[in-house]
Amino acid sequence: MDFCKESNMYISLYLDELLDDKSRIEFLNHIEGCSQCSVKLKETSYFADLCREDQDIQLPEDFSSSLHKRLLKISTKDSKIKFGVFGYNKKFITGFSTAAILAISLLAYNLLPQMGLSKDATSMANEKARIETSNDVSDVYSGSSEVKSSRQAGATNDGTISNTKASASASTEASTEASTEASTAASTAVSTAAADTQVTTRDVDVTIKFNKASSIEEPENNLQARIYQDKVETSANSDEASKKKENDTNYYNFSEVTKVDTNKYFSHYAELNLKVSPERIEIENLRKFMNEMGAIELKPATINGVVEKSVESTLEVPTTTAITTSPQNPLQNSEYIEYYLPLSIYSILESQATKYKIELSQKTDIIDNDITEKYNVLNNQRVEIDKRIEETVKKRENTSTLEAEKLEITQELNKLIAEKEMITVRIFL
Amino acid sequence: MGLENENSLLTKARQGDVQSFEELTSSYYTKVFNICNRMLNNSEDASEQAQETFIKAFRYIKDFKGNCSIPTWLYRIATNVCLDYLRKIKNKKVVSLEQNITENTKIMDSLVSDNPGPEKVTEIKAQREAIRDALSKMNEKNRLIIVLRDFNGLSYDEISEILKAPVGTVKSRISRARSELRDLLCKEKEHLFTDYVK
Repeated sequence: MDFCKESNMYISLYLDELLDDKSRIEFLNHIEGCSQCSVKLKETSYFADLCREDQDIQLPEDFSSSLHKRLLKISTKDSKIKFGVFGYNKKFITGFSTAAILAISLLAYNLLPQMGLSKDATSMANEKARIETSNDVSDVYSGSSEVKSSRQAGATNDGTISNTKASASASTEASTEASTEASTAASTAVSTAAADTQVTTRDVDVTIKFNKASSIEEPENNLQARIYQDKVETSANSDEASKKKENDTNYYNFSEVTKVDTNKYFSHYAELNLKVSPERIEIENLRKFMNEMGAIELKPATINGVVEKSVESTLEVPTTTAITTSPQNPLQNSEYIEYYLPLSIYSILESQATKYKIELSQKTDIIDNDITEKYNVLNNQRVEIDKRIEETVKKRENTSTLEAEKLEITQELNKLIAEKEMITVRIFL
Repeated sequence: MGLENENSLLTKARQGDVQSFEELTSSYYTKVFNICNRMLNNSEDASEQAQETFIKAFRYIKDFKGNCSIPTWLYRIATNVCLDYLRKIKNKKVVSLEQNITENTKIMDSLVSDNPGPEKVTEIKAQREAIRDALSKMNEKNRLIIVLRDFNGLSYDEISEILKAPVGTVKSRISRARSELRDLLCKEKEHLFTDYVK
């Protein structure tokens, strides 16, 4: 046996008394004759002894108490997890997570179409077609035709504001009640403004968005959509203008998405001052500015004379406008001009006005007029008419009169609903 | 502690009973602390890592199947905790040996046999310091072997269980570790041991 070569192993085993008798005797014989291995053995033995004699040091004083606290803490935490709501039930956690993801996905899916992400009129129209399957196509046509007539009236400046409003309501009815079978609506809108493709596209876009919203929420959106749509069509004559409107539309859509129906209805009214120079150039600038902002200028109810407009009258927006005019120079003697616009636009009027070198200042705060009661009265009437229609249908009698009556009330209701998001602004010159 | 009592405590500890766990393991606090102290050469770190050892033991006592004794299981956790800790601090911290050497002066004094004179006390003290110094310079795995075998007197079988290595491997590792320690001491501190080993 070559003890020198494996001396470390033999020394270690010898010290730990793990060599059998024969090996031990042979190893000791070798040690006697080999000084090198003998020294190694002495050294290793001495160092091992020193280590063995090294006594343990005592525990730090707070070791046990500190450990006890930590153990208790862990124990409490573990039991909380164990007996908590979810515990260690992996199946439950998995199920719950899946349900949560599903719910979020559905919610996101419902929200997506309202965000105006897609600008493709056809795809939006198809989308709408899927949602609104029970609509009456004939209503669409009638509603749209009224819109067209109102637009014409507006374009020639002959019609009153009430005309515009009425037709807007009619179109609202058309889209609210029923009416919008997607591809038909899209093609109708396209045909109304074939001359300006870009604007037409916007038209379709807006219509669809609000119709979709109306299938979920109140029909109030439709009036705004139609009014705004009218405005877009009548004022879109340049590319720049149409671009601006596109931006405005997006802004407006956004406000719709975030809107919360509180079941309270208000009309809004505010007064502003416009600083006018002797050249009166600011008036024209104001017109351009408000046009760009998408506001509807309320036309005078009477050509010559002054019609007082109270706050209450905002309920019937836009029926009256107090402007002293002469046919030759309609603006020369104007006291004020009134606009009808979304509240969201009103909030940025002052800041944006400077771009058109006009200075608008607030004359009054926004005055809110609670029209909830009026809405409730009309709503009750509608419910009553519904009942009567049901009864009439059961009797197999003609319901056309009742339907017309219902339509009228619905239009009124929509007007009231629309007031919530709109404001009448009187700008004093 | 009787086997029956140990089993009962083990059952309760598995159910999260802290008191039972403490009763079961408290007798190994000092041993575990000393293993950590010798491995880490710092009593503060040793205390922290020893506590960590028992906390891990408490957390995983459900997985303890009784294939080995409780102290063996605890020493295994302690050695792993220490090796992990050393790996973490390897490049962050310079371990001080001096602190422990000072702390242990009194203990070392008491080790001196049968009223040795002051010269002898100083000599043994210097030798123990040299051993600790050498220990800190050793390969961590070899150091662990020396700690388990020569400082704590654990058997080859116990070390085999702790390291989860065959006894044959343990034998060769012990011989290798002792050889390394001897080389370190004889090369650097030969003068301290000349009278005893030559």
